[in-house]
Amino acid sequence: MIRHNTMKVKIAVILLLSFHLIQAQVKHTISGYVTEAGSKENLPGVTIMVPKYKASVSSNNYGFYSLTLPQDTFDLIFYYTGYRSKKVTIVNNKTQSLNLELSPEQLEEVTVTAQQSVKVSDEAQMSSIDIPVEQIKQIPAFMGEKDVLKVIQLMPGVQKGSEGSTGIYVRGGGPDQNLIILDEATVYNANHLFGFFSVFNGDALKSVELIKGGFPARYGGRLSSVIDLQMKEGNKEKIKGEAGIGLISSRFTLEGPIIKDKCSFLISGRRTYIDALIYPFLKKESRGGYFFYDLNAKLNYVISDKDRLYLSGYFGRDKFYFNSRFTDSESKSGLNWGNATTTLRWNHLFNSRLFSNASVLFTNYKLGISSSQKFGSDFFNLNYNSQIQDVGVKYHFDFIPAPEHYIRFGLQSLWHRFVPQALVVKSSFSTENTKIQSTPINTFENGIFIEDDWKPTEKFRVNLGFRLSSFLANDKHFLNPEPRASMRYLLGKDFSVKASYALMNQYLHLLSNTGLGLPTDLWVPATDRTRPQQSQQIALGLAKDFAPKNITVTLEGYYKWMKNVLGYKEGASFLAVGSEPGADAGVDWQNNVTAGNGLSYGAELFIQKKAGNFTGWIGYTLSWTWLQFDSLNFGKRFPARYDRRHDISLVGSYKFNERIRLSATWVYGTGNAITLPLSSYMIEQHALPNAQSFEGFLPYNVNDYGEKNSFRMAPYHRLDIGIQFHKQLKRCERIFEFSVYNVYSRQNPFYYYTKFDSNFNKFRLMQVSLFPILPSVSWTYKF
Amino acid sequence: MKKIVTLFLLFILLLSCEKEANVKLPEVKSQPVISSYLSLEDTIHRIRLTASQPLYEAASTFPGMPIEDASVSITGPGGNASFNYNPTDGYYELKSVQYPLQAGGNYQVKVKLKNGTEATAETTVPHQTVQILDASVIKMTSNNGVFFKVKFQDDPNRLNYYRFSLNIIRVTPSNDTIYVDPGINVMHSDISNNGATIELGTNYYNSEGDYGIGYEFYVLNISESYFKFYKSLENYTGDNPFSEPALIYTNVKNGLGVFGAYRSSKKVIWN
Repeated sequence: MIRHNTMKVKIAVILLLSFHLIQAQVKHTISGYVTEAGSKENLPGVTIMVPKYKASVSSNNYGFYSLTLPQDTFDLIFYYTGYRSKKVTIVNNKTQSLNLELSPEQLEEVTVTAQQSVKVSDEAQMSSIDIPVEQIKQIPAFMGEKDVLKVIQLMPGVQKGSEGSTGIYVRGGGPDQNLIILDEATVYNANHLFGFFSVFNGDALKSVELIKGGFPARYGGRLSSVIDLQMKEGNKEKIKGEAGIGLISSRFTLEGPIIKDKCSFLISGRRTYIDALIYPFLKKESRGGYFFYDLNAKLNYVISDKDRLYLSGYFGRDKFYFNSRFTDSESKSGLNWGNATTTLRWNHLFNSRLFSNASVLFTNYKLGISSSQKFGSDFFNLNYNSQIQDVGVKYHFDFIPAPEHYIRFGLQSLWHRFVPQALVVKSSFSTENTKIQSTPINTFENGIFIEDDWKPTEKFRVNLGFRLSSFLANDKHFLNPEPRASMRYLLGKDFSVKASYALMNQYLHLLSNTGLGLPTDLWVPATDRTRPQQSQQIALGLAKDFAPKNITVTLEGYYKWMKNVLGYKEGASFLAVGSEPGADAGVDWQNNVTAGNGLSYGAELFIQKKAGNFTGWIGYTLSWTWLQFDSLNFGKRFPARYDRRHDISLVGSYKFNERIRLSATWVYGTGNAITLPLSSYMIEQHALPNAQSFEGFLPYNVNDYGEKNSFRMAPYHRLDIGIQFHKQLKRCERIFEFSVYNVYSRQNPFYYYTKFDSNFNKFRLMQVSLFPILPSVSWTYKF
Repeated sequence: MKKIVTLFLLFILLLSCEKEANVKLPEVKSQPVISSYLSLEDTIHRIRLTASQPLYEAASTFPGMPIEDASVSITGPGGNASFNYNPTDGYYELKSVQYPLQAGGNYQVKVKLKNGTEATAETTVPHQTVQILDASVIKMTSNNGVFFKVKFQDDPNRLNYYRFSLNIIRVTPSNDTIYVDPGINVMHSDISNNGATIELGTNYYNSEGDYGIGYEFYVLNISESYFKFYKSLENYTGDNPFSEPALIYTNVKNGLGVFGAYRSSKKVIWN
């Protein structure tokens, strides 16, 4: 009997081995890069379908794809939204490299298979939105400045902060919980001009992806969202350029080959000029101003079919200054802040199924305040700096053994160096110069991950992932496993049900003393007192593609718990504490904040049309966000300020013909939850026995606020429209845009305050609104 | 920095506009406000009763005007008793000989206004007074201020709350001795150091250099409501769009204010 069983096992092993051998013999891999015809720009997210085998794969962020199939004759179809699909017949395939170019669709050729690129219903990933950069340029914008982050605010599940600001609140999370990465490098402060504009220049961007939940294991480090931005590589065939003149800024972009088809560059810059325009109108004695600029540059080099190098960088600065000069005195003060990022990436193909990307990155965010005064022979100089700096490596692999598996694994290691404050004061009034330097804090954040996008059957697809994250700050070490999973099950043609789970940890906190998104907000590492933040999120949804019409519909519900999120303590002042960094360098920022828990749940509907003459989307969010802090609202839970029951965005853009395009957006959101004084009363403190007079206050007049955040501001709504006129000139294309922000001049509340009206002997609730109707114009030249 | 924030705010205000808010304001009624701190050591139990003033309605009375015609009663281990209004000092009063409190007793106060509104509040009188082990005054050389320090033993059997305060004893030019409360409060709960010998301290600086002839140190063993009310008062900043509003604690149902209790211990130090 035993002998018989051993025999059976032997046969089984032989069968398995031979099966494996047969498989190994007949399967071949076709792989390569998909690029755009005319520019050779890599195209990410192109779907490559093999109808015969009902198999498909998408190109990765670098345009690379790989398909392993039995030896046979079959068709490959390459689909990408807005591009002409291409069919390639493979006869008796063998392991081969196949690089392909796709051409953008011309209007007359729209009849060509209007297929979508990656079908949302096919993906295991959920809660993710690709934002076509071209669409960002069509949407009317505040002061005519096209802004990626403001377009992201129009997506369901995402809310904006205060009027005009680029603050992003995803599924109940705060603006510090978004991982914003530009070519793999973290951007710590994505704001220009106190949050009215974001630092991203759309001209330099190739793709923008927003992930709100079901995070793949390759991302980590923030609780609520990932905003992954990729810069363009630069045209490899000919010199191309774009220049724009707007109401408040000008921009230019130049890209082209250095060595044709091998090496190209891109450089893109932007600068505001309000300061230059108002300069002549200011008094000679005292002049002040503000400007920001940013610069994106990229260089890439195709070394061989197997190796590519990319060097990209971003540099941006904001500067406020105020100088005055009188006969006997002189004063200069300034505030400047900005990000700098640099990434060097090396794509290497180990073989046709194993792709790797190694990145070395550097990022820096710096805030500086300076003030110098001179009175005759006396002087006073103050310099204050705070910064965070990352140096890191990421090494990611894509392994595609078969069409059913797409395995990603890798590691990342970031060295964060925090210099919360450094102050130098020199003055002639004091013999001792002050020099305060808080000890720089060095921390290490590491992560290793593996994920497999697996299609066990045609109907079922799952992305299983695991990430192990660790953080080392001073002597404190945190180690956290982060399981991730998302799946889809096809219910019918292009119709699927999806589910996901993700656990996230965040080891950095943003300490803010303003709530306005001022650059003085400070990033600090998790410590014993401010533990790492953690969230868990489950989501369930339906996705349907109407492929011929290029329409995608998704409906999702989510439930998210958050631990150790930071909030302001009651009574914390936004302006007093820390607003004078020099004066109170000793103030511990941790005293202004307190940690608690958050809970957010809701549903999101998203109907999007990505291609065709009419593009746009409808987004609707129904959500609840609660916070519970032991030291706030007497421990009772309360709605978050940005708890928004209803949020609607309608975005549409219609191309009448080659010359005219009309776009409009309308947004509506339930008002913010705030704490409003309701009544005032006199409360008597307890006088000590024997006390005959008091230097403190005994009867005390206070306000009753009811419960925290129990009052709703008026709802927010606004309509923006824009019209673009395209004209082909001799040597270039000119686009003239006229847009109007807040068309019906809705006075949306920015904040409320109470004011005593002595005529009626009562208080009135006053509303301050920011922007009324604001028209703007801009010219763009493309050559 | 302030200049820059101001510049930014100016920029905002240039574009902004201001008007009366067009929103439905919450319906707020005037509510009874109770301020009362009971103690075994007091000869008279006192309750101050006023009314809150809804902000967005025309004020009908002077803020803090006592309500004179309410019925105020107390229920506890000693039974039921009524307070009488004393128009000279504006308190509702009850002599402690008529209604002695019990240590550890739970008391409920009930206020009934003429218009039928009823408000209630509850508190527990702390079990015991603390024994002050040490009280000291340390002169500080840096700014000519003083540092007050007190040491006492915590009762390990209960969760306790404390208030450390003091009176400065001064002699007036007419040679009268007066007791001045400089408004120093140090609040403490023994959650983190139950049963320990507790030390509390605070510094004080008098711009005129007048530190009197001595001090009365008080350590009050206080009820939870008393503690929470004082803690919430510490954070209170008033109404200001640039600060996070601080809520004032109340344990009054259907009303506002605080109904608390305490046990008082004293130690006198002469300069």
